[in-house]
Amino acid sequence: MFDLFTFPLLAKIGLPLVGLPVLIHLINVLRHRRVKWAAMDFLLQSQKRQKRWIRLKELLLLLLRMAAMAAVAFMLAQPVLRNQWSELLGGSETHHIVLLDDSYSMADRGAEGVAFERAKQVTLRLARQAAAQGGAQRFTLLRYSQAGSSNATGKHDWVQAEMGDMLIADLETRLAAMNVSQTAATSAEALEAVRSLPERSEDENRIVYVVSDFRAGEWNDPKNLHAAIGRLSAEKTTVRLVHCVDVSHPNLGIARLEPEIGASAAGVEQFIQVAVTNFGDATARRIAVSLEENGHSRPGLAIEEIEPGETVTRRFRVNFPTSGQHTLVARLPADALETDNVRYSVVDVADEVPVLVIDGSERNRDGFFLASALDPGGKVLMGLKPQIESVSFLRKPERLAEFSTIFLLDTPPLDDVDIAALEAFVEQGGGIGVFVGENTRGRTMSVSMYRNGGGMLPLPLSISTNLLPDPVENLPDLEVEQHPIFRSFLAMRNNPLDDVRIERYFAVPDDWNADESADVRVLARLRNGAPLIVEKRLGNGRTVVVLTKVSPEATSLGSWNDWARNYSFLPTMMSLQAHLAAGRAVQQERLVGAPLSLALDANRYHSQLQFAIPDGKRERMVLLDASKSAEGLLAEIVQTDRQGLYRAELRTRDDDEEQRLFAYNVSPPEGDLHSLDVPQLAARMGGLPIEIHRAADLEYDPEELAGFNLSQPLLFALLAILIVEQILAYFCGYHPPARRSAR
Amino acid sequence: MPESTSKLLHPEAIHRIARLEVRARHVVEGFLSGMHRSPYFGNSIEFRQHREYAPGDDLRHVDWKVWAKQDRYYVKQFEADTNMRTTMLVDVSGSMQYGSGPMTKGDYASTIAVSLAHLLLRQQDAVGCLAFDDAVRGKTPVRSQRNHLAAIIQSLEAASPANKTNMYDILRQAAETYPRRGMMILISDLLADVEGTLKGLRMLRQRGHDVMVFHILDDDELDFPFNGPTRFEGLESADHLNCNPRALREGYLDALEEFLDRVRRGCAGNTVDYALIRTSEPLDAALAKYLSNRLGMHHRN
Repeated sequence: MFDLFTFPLLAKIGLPLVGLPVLIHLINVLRHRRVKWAAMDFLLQSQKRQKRWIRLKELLLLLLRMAAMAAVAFMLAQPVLRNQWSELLGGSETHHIVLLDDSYSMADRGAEGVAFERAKQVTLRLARQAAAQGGAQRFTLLRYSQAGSSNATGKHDWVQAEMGDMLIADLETRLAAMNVSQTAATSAEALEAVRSLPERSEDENRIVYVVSDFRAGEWNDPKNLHAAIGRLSAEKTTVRLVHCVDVSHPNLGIARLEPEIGASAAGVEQFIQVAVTNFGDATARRIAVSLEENGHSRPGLAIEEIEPGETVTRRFRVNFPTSGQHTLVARLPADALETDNVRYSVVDVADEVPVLVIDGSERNRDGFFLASALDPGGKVLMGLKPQIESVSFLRKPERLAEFSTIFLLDTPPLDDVDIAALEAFVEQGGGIGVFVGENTRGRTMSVSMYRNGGGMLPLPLSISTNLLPDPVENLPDLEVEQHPIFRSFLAMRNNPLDDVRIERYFAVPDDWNADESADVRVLARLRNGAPLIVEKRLGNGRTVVVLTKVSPEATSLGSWNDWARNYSFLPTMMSLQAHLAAGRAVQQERLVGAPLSLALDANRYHSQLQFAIPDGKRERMVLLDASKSAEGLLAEIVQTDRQGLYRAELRTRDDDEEQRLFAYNVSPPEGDLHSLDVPQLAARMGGLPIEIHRAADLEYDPEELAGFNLSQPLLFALLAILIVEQILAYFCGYHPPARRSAR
Repeated sequence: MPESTSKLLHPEAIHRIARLEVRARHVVEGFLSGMHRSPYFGNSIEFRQHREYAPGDDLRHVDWKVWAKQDRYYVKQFEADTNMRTTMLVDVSGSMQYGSGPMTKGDYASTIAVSLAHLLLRQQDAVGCLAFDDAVRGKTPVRSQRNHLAAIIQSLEAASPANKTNMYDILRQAAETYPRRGMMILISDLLADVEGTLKGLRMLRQRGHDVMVFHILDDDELDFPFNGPTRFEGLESADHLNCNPRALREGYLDALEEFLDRVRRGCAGNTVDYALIRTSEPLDAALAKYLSNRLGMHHRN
């Protein structure tokens, strides 16, 4: 109740004084005068006649005097009448927690201004109004970009700060300097971070204001939000959503900019993919994508049109003449949201890309044919360096990390240690291609490597069998699916794959069904329907099994196929290698906000290094001391809140300088500016005890926000009470001027 | 009356005179000092009027001169030749104890009574006194000796005010005690049963007495000027009342006025002379009222 007063102490002191008239009355009753009276009959008669009326008048008089005391107390304490907006801010002992959405979609610029600027205004208004309320008001501000961290409490801009003019001034200054982050932090993370705040006291009234743009991407399916808000409500915390965006603007964003294959070699031409998403509601036409290669402009791309909600991918060729790291930047023309109009990529170019070939075949003939395909020699430069090893090489798992692709050719059964090392390699983004042969033990492999779908092998094997000739229909032996491996041949009228002859292959058990697992896909079948090439995704990497032998030469079981002699073999193997290596590339994509860790060899590098962090058009240098551990040096920076190219500058023990580049990009889905309007939001949040407000509805005059001071009306009320009291007292009392006596 | 004399008769001045006799003399002499001649001082046997003779009339009173001139019998009528017999009925009940000024109602009543007695005795009228509350507390026979005043004073001083007033019984008793016609002066606050009082007065009138009532009331009783929480305790009863007197004033004055009206009307109806006297008024007012009353008394007989 006392939170209504500007000076609650005066109200607390003054209100008991309301009882003063009663006290005076009681004292007077005790201190009455005694009069020996003769004409008692007349007195008793008068008293009997007027008893009720007298009591009523006296009671009224007493109440009026009490009311006058109350009016004086209230007037001095200055009660303030607040409007609906004030009620939004709760009463005294209130802890206001503002969750300010600074994810990059808040940079949305429209005719009505930038969403984040409006959010900042709302925050400032909330703080000002809370300060004007009086009572114990505390304030916590948490930006979404800070909430994702595990230690969110330490990253609050203010935690339980006492409200006051100092805080408001500080808040105003700091809000003015605050910019939209480039993170895609979510409301759910921010709401969850509220729970990590210090525990509330018993009488604390806690209000959480979610000041956000409420993008459809997150709020359309708000299961985790429901859970977070439900938990807060259970803790008697009020949740209020303040919507800062009224109109959804169209927006284009670059979703992807990456090499088609995982690793490339210097001097080898390769394709780079750029994908552009249209987040608007209308078809976007004639989109020009400008490109930069190593900081220099290069011919851009034009996309004729993109349907609403669609993503269009275009590829362009690059040829990096030297090894090392090369940068690519793609840009879109300006639109409502600038942040997702640019995308950075760092392409690692090696002199040669090593490929591990584990060959178990007789005289390594399989390895010979595969290596010939991957590195034909002569003037043809493929950039790949096949390294043929025996099965024993798998015993050195630490060396597997040097490769992005491993081929297992006609290997005898592997032991469990080898299989575990290979599966770990795949899960970390590596790719394994498996070719069978006469050394392959189908049932053993099924048990050790398929493990009923739990292992790296996509399917169980039974035994090798001959593909019976079909002289009648003369169908091609190989039927391929739409897949990047076969991209080169799909548009060809005379497909060389049709000429491939398969004579022997490994059959699979009849009860195996490729559709049982979403991770498994059959890429090619034989004409009898049996799968020949099957892929399985495992972790970040993938395994592709080819159920025939590499070598076309005759074996003890006869000839398996003639594919290696067909000219489709070389491009297919190149594509297969690129496809297997692609897992590493995807894994290396870094999003703004993720810490940048760099593991270094302690024997080669000094522990001191510095990072160049992009900061607008300039760079900011951060000196760092890498932490030492048994595995080497580990350097980590967490200030990855801007997209762009990060550069680590290293110094070797030989005093040479090295640098590593890292591309940080924003999360593309955050660029979807579709926002839920208030009714939609209310529908999604149905059943939860929350309040939803538009920022525009809350733009009140500061004086109006401060509420209506009741002191003046109370003064008039006091005067009225005193006048009525005087009149009533006059009628209740004895007044000599109106002398009347019995005659 | 000269102003200096009037001041001397003020109750405050009289109050300073402790002895009732001296006080009475002071009042009467002060009162008489301004008057040239008392209408009652002089011939007590004076011709009044002629009346036609009726059988049974004393032949000594036949006016033979008229018979000689007119041949008709007329009888001559004269003023009474005896001294007037006056009885004072003085209320000494508990209620007479009240007094806001220098004198209580009881003191005031006694002073009036003694003053009148003194006045009457000076002109050789016979005076008696009866002090009462619910019963007769002091009784003095009707005498005209000069030293009879001391007996009256003694009877009044001996009666200490205490009990309630029982007016009817007292008046009846007075009527029986003093059967000879005369003048009855009732000096009281009349705070008793009004009906009983009026009935008693009527009875006195029926017995042929001239009756005069001096209604003594205190200023407080007439104005009720009390303020602040007050506990009123009955002088004649155990009643008490805690109240805010300001709130009860209006009702009290209404009730008092109604009482006075009833008394006034009752007195007028029974041809009883009535005078309401405040204890703050000078004491000679009572004497003046008495004398003006005596002047008009003949018209009633």
